[in-house]
Amino acid sequence: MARYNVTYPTTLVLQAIASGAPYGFEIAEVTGLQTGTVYPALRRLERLGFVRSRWESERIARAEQRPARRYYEITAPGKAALDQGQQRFLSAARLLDKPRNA
Amino acid sequence: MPSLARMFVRLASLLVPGGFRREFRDEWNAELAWQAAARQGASRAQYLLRASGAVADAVALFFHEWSLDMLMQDVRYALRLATRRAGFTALIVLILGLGIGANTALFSVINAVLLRPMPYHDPERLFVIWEDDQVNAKPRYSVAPANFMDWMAQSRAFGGFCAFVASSATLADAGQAQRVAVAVVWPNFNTVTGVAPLLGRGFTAEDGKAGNHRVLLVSHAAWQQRFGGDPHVVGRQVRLNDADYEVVGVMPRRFSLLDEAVEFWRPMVLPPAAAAMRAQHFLTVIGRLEDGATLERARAEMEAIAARAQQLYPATNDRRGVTLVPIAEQTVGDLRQPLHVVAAAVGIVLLIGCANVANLLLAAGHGRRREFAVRAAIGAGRARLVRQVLTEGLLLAALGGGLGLALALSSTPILAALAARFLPRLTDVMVEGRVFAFAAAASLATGLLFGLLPALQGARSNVQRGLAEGGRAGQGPGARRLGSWLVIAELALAVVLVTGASLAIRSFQRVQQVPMGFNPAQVLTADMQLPPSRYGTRGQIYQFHAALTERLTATPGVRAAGITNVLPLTVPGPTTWLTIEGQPRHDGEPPEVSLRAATPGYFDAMQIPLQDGVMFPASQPDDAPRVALINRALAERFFAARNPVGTRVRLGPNPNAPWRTVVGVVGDVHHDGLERPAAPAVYMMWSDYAAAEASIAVRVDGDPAGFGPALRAVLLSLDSGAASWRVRPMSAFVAESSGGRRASVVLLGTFAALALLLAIIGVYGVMTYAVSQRVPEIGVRMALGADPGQVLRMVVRQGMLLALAGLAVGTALALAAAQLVQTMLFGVQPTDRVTFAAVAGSVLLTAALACYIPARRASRIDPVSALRQ
Repeated sequence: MARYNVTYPTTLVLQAIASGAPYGFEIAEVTGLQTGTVYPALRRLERLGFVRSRWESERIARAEQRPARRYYEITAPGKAALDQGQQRFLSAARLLDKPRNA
Repeated sequence: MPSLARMFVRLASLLVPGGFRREFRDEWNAELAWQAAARQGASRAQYLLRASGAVADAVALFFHEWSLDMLMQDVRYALRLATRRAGFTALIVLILGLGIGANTALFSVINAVLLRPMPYHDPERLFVIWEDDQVNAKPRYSVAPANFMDWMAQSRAFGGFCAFVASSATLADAGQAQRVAVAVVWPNFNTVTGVAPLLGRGFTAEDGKAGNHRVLLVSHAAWQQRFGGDPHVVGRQVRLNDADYEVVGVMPRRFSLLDEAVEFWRPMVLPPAAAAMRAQHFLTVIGRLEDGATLERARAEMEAIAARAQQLYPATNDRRGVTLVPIAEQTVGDLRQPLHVVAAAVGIVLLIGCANVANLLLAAGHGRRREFAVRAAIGAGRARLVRQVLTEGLLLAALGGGLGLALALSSTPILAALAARFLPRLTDVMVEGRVFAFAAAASLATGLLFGLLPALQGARSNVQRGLAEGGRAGQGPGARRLGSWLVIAELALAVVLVTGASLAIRSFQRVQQVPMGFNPAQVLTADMQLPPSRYGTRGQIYQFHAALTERLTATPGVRAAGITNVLPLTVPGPTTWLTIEGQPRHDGEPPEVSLRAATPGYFDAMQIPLQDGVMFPASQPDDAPRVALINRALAERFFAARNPVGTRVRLGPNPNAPWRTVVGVVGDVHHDGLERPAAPAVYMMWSDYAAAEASIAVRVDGDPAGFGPALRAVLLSLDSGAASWRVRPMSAFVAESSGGRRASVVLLGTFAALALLLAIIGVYGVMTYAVSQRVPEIGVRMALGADPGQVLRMVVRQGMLLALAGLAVGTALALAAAQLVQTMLFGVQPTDRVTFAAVAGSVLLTAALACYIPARRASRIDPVSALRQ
C-alpha cells in the first residue's frame, strides 16, 4: 500500500462510508464536516484508490423523481487506511476525551 | 433559493478541468436536489452553506492537475515568451508600472494621512469639544475659560479635559530674533493625550502654578532642528519673549496636537479673573472619554451642562450648546473626500491600463492560435492552457508591480513634500509594510484582471480550426466583440475622469475669478513683533509703527505702506460684538463681527477701495470722538436701507466702551478664503488698537519679494530687537489659499489626460487590428467597386460607434459621480451642460482622429494584393 498519511477528516470520511453513508451530503451530515471539506477529501481518496464512485441507476432516481446521485464505496486499500487512521486518531481521541470527561 | 445554490455550482464548475466538469455538475446538482427534497427542515443558510462547498471542491479538482513542476514550466515558458517579444513586454510593463506606481504612491499618502493611527494613546476616546454657537451658526466655536471650568467640574463621562491656545513667541536663537509657534496648554496635557515625552518629564499640575510655569516641552522636529538632537537638551534654557524657560522634555516623533507647526508647549496659568471669563472664547478643548463611557452618554451629559449654563448665564451663554468631534475627524475629516476622489481617479487610470493590456494580449493571443491548437492537439487540457496564459499575465503584472514599486519609492518623498503644504500628518511618509502589501495586491489583481479574459479566450479556441487555418484567417467574432467591449469600458471610464477633472478645473477657474477685494500684486507682507519690555504702552507701539511706515514710504520704489492686526487669507483674526446706536439688541447677544485695525496706508497698500464716506485719520487726540470704518458686508447686513455713515457703534461686551462714529464704508475683503463670503467687519484706527504683534503690507514698484531685505533692514535700523517673520509677497497667500484645490486640479487633470490617452490608444489599437483582420473583405469590396472614400467612412463609422457607446455609458456614470462630489465644486453645477458638451466633443474628436489613421490605411488597400493573400 502507498504510504499515505491519513488525516483526521479523511479518516472520518472513510469511516462514514464504511458504516453506510455513501453520498457526499450524507457523509457531511454524519461526520459534521462541511461539504467543502468532504468533497476534496473524497477526490483525494478516489485518486488514491481508497474509495471508488459509481452512479446510482436511473431507475431508482426516476422512481424518486430526482436526478441520479453519485455514491462512494470503500475499497480494500481504503479499509487498510481506515484501520491505520483509526489507530492514530482513536487513541488520540481517547487522550483528548479524558480531560474533557474529567 | 435552489437557483442561487445552482449558480454557485455553475460558477464553481468553470474552475473544474474540462474532463471532470460534467460529472461535477451532475453530482452537485443531484445532491442539492436530494437535500431540497428530503431535508426540507434544513434552514436556507444551511442549504447555501452546503452548496458553497462546491467552490472548495472545484478548487481541489483544479489543483489536482497542478504541480510545482508545471508552475516552473509555465514560468519558464512565460519568461521566454516575454523576452522574445521584448518590445511588447516593455510596453505592457510600462503601462502597468505607471498605473501601479501612481496608485502606490498615492496610497502611501492616504496611508499616512487617513489610515495611520493618530499619535495619541487610545485615540478613539479623544474628542475635540467646541461650543456650538447657534446664534451665529458656528458649531465649532472656541471655548470660554469659565465654560471649560464647568466642564471639568461637572462631567463624569470625560476622564479629563485639556485646553490649549495657539500662540507664537519670539525666540532669541543665536543672536537672531525668530518667530516660533507655541501652544499654551493646560498642565494635564500629557495625561489627557496619553503621550509621555521621549526625553525628560511631562507637565504636572505643579507646572500650572504661577512661578513654576517657565518650563517647556519641545517637539521632536524642533529638537532635531534647533538643538541638533542634543540628548542633553533637558535642563537647557530657552529665551522666549524676553523670558527664560527651562526645557523639561522632548515629545516623540510625529506627535502634534491639531497644529503641526507648534515647536514648544508651555503650561497655561489662568489667573482667577481669566478663569471666570465667559464672554471671551479662545480655548481649544480636548477631552478623553472615561473607560466604559459611551459617546451618547458623554454627549447627553455635556448638553445638560451647557443647558444649565444657558439658564444660569443668559447674557453670555444664550443658545450655546456643545459639539463633540472625534480628534481624527477634526484633524483629517475635511480631507477624506478629496483624497478618496483622487484615489478613485488614479484607480480608474489603472483599470483603463488593465483593459488596454487585456486588449493587447487578446490581439497577441490571436497570433498564437496555432500554438494553442498544437498544444491542445498533443494533449494539453483546457485548464492547463488557461493556467499558462494566466501565468504569463501574472508575470507581466509582477514585472509591472516591480517597476511600479520602484516608481513609488522614488516619487513618494517628492509627492509627500509637495502635499505637506496642504495635508497634515505627512512628516516622514514611508513606503512601509502596508504600502508594500498594497502594491503586491494591486499587481496580483491587475494580473488576474487583464490576464483572465485572454486566458479564457485562448483556451476556447477550436483545435481543428486552429490547426487548419494556422492562425491566418480572421479572429473569431467573439474575441473581436470582447475587444470592443473593453474599448467601450475604457472610453466610459475615461469620460468619467475627464468630466470630473473638467468640473474641478471650472471650479478652480471660478475660484480664481472671485474678486478678492484687494490687489495682491506687488505687495510684500511681513509679520513682526516688538520686544514687550520696551514697548509696554499702545502709544509706544504706535509711535514705532508710525516711524516705520514713514521711513518705508520715503524709500524709493515704495508706493504705500500700512499696518494691520491680521492679513487676509492668513489666520481668522479676532472678532468683536457690535452694538449699533439706536438699534435695539434683539434677544441675547449682539451680533458678532470681525475686528480689524489698520493705518490708512494699509488701505492704500492693499488697494482696498473706500466706497462711501471718508478714510479715518492715522491718529486722533485722546479726547476726540472715536471713529471707525465698516465693510460693505456689515453695511448691507445691519444697515439695510439706511446710510451707515454717521451712525455710532460700540465694540465689545463692555457697556461703557466708547461710541465710535462710522465715517466710511470700505470694500469687502475675502478674509477667510476665496470660497467663503466676506464676513461683516469693522476697522478700528491702528492708533486705538496698536499691538506689539502686527502685520505690515508694502506696495512697491517691481518684484515684491526682492524688497524683503530692504524691509528687514529698515525694521532693524529702528530697533534691532524687532522680530520679523513670514516675509512674503501677498500673492503667495492668495496662491496658497487655493493650493489644495490647485493640487487636486493638477492631479485630476493629469490622471484624466492619461486616462483619455490610454483609452484612445485602445480605440486606435482595436481599429487598427480590425482593419488588419478585414483586409481580404475590404479588398473584395473595393474590387466590386467601393471607392476609397466609402471604405474610409465605413471604418470611421465603425470606430465612432464604439466611441459613442463609450461616451453614452461614461456620461451616465459621470452624472452620477458628479453628484457625489458636489460639495467639492464651486460655482459650477454637477450637471453643467457646457462641461459635458465640451467633454463629449473632445472625446469624439480624439476618437475620430484615432480611427482616421487605420481608416486611411484601409482605404489604400490594393484590392489585387489583398485578394491574392
